[in-house]
Order: sequence, then structure tokens, then C-alpha cells
Amino acid sequence: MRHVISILVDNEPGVLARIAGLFTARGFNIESLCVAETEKPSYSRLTLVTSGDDWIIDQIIKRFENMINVIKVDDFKYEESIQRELLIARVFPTSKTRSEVLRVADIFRAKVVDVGTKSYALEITGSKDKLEAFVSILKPLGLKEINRTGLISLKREKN
Amino acid sequence: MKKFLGAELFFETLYKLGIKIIFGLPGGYVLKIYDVMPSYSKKIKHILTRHEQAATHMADGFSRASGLPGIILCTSGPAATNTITGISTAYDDSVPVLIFTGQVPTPFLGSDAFQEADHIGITRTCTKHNTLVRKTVDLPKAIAEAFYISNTGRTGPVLVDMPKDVLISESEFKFPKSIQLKSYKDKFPLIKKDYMSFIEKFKNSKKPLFLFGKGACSSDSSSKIKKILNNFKLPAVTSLLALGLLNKSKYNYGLIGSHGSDSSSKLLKDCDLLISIGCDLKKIVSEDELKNKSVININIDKVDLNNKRKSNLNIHCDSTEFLNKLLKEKNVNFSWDSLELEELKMLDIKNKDKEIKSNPKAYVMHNISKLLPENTIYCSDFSYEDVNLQKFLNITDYKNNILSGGNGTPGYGFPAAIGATFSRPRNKVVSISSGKNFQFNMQEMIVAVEQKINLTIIVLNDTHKSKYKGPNYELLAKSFGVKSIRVKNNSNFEKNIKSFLIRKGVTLIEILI
Repeated sequence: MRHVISILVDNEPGVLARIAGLFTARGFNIESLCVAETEKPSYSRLTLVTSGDDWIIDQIIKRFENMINVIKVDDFKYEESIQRELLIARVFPTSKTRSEVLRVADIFRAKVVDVGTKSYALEITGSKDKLEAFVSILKPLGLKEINRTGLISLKREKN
Repeated sequence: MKKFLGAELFFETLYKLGIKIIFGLPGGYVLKIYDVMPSYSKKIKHILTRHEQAATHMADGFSRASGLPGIILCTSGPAATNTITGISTAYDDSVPVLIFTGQVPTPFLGSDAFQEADHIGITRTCTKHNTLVRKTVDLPKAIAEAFYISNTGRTGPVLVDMPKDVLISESEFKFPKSIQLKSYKDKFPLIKKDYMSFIEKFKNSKKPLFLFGKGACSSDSSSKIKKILNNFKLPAVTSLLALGLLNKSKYNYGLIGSHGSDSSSKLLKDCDLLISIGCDLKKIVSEDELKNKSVININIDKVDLNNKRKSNLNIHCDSTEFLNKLLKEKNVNFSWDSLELEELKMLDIKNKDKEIKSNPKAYVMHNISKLLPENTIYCSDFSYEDVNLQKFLNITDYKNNILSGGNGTPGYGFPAAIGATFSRPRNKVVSISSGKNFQFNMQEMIVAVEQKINLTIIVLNDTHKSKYKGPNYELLAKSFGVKSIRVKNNSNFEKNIKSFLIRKGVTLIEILI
């Protein structure tokens, strides 16, 4: 099963290596990983997407919690959290598909962030499914290159 | 305020933490520490070893025999990489050791400088924590924190990496008044709800069996556990690392696991509830053995709860707290048949006698053990197939049982024995190794001789007839200045070694099996 794990850590050198190292040492796989400073500069938040059976996820979380530099670990369930990812795509349309690309961008609420004589660069944010749909539609229209940030996540307010 | 060199701060902090002995070897990047060492030599003793791996094992043995943390000091690169086996051994058996390594000056970090290695990266998976000190002023705090982390909760090795410029610059001595780590917990109280569900399961069971691991061993736990077993009249077994914990208890059924006693496996088969305290269950029992049984797992480290073995109740707490609570329970009756239990004891004695007669190594272990005083510290270093020999030694306390359990490190026993002599110099210390394992760290004989300790080394030479016969250990020991004899395993065996076993100083007995 796919899990989104959010980890609050000390903003110190070597902490990321320690976290990532745990995955290699135990043969677990990371699907995506995103790190940045939080509202407090001394902390960083790491959002990590991984998959595995219950035992693996249980072990990963326990071992994270045992690390001295780890402050808090959350295993987010999909319904309880907001999940977003940013994607930048470069599309090389033909003269025929040029306007079609812009129309697709409009439907997906993507922004044009760079224009050249041969290509557009489009920026889009959203859930994993939305980004994948966006990519699959642009592919026949001349999509050549994409880059994604990996998932970031925040807990929803409880009602 | 008075200013100190980084190297001086190193000693000042160690002294303040109550450390009296360090094991180590000098080298380029820690020379400043060795420069200032003479002015601290009255407060802190330094044992010069001949190999960093042996230094780590010595600190490990010192720690296991005393319960205090062991300290290692060495330089960077090859020295630090040599310690890895020792660190890994300590990590697997949760032994508190502190490793101090020298490092290239901070401006040269990561430049592939002479004798540079990424100590933090290399030891990440075999230490509880590790840290690189970047400023001289931070050194006391880093050492105090490392000491605290290593010595609390589930104990384990911690490495502190000290670049050369940190050691040679000056700073004031700022010792932290208290250690504050944001998320680290050193105490794990027993939650009442957990205890209530334990009691319910415990009282409803018919034939519960206690299994004690290293996590259950602490200064006064032995007497508490014996009392608990007497109260309930319940049998108990121990893991390899906790051997000696239940010494002289009527309810002790010895070692469990693949090297265990026959009675313990019979008990495990018959019980309906297994209560494991401070054990890594997956290393001790198989999933099949737990079929149709209820399992309660009590551990200070949640990683070992629900880990590859089924468990019906997991309790994350300190074992001492749990034992204190259990001590107050009384008047619960179980349906173990006391006659049957006694028969099992007899069966064990019978099987042991049988093996002593059939296995020459067991015969040797049994007889040596008989000749030695009660409170002898045994540092053993058997090859994998011989681990069952441990049960023929007369181990009277868990602190007298020194062996590499989880890691099974060859060459561990002898240096660990040297370390143990420094922690309890009044006790007899014996190192028992098979010949091939002894060869891993035999250079340390010179350290034992130099330090004028009392240590008996026993080498079981079981390869003297084979193609790979190894050295003549008797002559080898003589070249180090160790008094030695070579004996055959025959009827005169006891008479031959008797006088040698009680001799003072460093002695080596080579036994041809």
C-alpha cells in the first residue's frame, strides 16, 4: 500500500542522509522525497512516499522515531491530508497543435512560465492523478521533458 | 575565564562525566590529545592497544562486566574503519560504548585528504547516534550528549568525530547543566492500561513461561525476578545474553533457542503463554514454535515489538518498572505440574552428563569451570557450532557472561577479557577461545603483559591435526612474555592445569582437543 509519511527533523547536515540511509540499509524503496525548511528555520519537514506491507511501514516509522534528530513522524491517510505536487513540462508543439496545447493548459489550470519560438514551458500543481492525466494528454501534443517535485502534504483540520 | 585547548576540553569533560579509563591508539589527527594526556594521566588511565578493533572490544568487555560505558579513542581513516566490527558487535548487543575518532581539519573535510574517511556515513547503521563536532566550544556539550544518549534508554554505541582544528583551538569550558534533546526519551513508563491487559492474560493462562533477555538484566533485577518466580512457582528460561541472570534459582531452566537445553524446548512446547521480557524474539524462537500460543512481548525498544514474530500483546516500557509492578502481585495459581518440572530438571542434568562424556570440548569446559572460583568472569569466543558450550560454564551472574551474541564476532573474547579485568580487578577473568578465533586478536597479548593484569587465556586447539593447523599457541605466547603450557585432553588433564589456572599474571593454556 502507498503511504505518505511526513517527518519533522532538525535542520542539520547529515539528517537527510540518515533518513534515506535507513531505506537502503533495510531494502525499502522511496517513491518520492521532498525536503524544505519549515516556519521555524531550525526544523525541516520531509515528505516521503513509500509503499510496502504493514510490517515494513510499522518498522520504518518506529526506526524514524528512534532517531535523535527526528522530532515527529506522521503517517498521513489520504482523506485526512492535503496532498500536492508541482510539475513543470516542456512541450514542443507543431503549428497545428500550438493552440490545442494552450487549451489543455487552460482546462488543467496550468500556467505558461516560458515561451520560445519552438516550445512552451507549463507549470501545474495538483494531486498525483491530476498530474498524470495532464502528462498523458500532452504526450501526443509534443511533450518532451517533465520535472516533478514529489509530493508534499499537510494535515487537514479536523471537523 | 580560563581558556582550554580542544584536547584539554576532551579530558576535562570525560573527567566530569566520571570516566576513569579509555582504550585507544594514537595517530596523526588526535596527537594533540596524546600531547596533553600526561597532565591528566592521574585522573584518566589510558590503555594502549595494538589494534583499534581490539580497543573497541576491550571497551565493550569493560562495559559488560561493569555496567559503565566503555570509551575508545583513535584517529581517522584506517583507525576509524578498524573499529567498525567492534562498534557493530556492541550495537547488536546494546552495549554502551563511546567512540572518539580524530578527523581531518574542518576546511579539508570531503577533500579526500590523507587518512580521511567519512566516519559519520560509515557508522550510521551501526551506532545509536553519531555526530561531527565543528567548533571547539561545542565539544563538551557534544561529548556530554553522546554519553547521555549512549547510556540511557536502550543503550548502544555513540560515535563523536573530532576534526583536528577543533582539538588544537582554544575555548572556554562550557559544560552543559542539563541535557535537553527535543524528542529523545530516556524513560518509558509502564502504561496502566497495558499492565491491566497483561494481568488479565496472565491470570487467565494455565501454563505461562517467562523468557528473559538482556533487556531484563539490570543491577537489582536478578533478585526481583527470582522473587517473582518463587511467588508464582513459574519456570523461566533466558536468552544467550542473559545467561546467569537466574543463577541458583530453582525455576531456572537455562538457555532457550537452537543452542538451548532440552528442558527449555519442552517447556516452550507445553506452555500456553510466553512472556518475553527484553528479548529480540525473532532471534530466539521460530514462528512455528509460537503456533497456538499467546505471546506477550515487553521491550524498551518498540522496533523489537511486533517484529517478524507474532505477538498478542506488545508493551513498550522499561523492564524494571514492569518487574516492580509484577513483584506486588500474589496469589495466582497455575497448572504446571511440579513433579513434571522436577523431572525436566533431572532430564537436563542427565543430558548434560551425557554430553560431557561424549563431547571432549564439553568435558574440558565443565572441568575448567569446576576448578575456577564461583564469581569468575567468562569471556568466551566460540565458533558458531560450539556456542552450546556456553552452558557448561558455571556462570553465576549476567555480568560474568561476556560473549558476542547478535554479531557473533570472531576474536571478540580475548580483548573483551582484557577490558573486563580493568572493571573488576578482584575477580578472576578467563578468556576461552577456539584456536581459529583467538588468532583474530592475538596481538593484544602484549597489552595484557604490559598492563600487568591477571588473566587466564584458554585456547581450544581443535585443528592441530588438520591441514590448517595454525600456530603452536604455547610457543607463540612465550614470545609475547606470557607464561604458557600445552596440555592434552586426557585423564591427567585436570591435574596438569590446576596449578596453572590459579597462577597470577597473564597465562595461556593451550588444550589439544
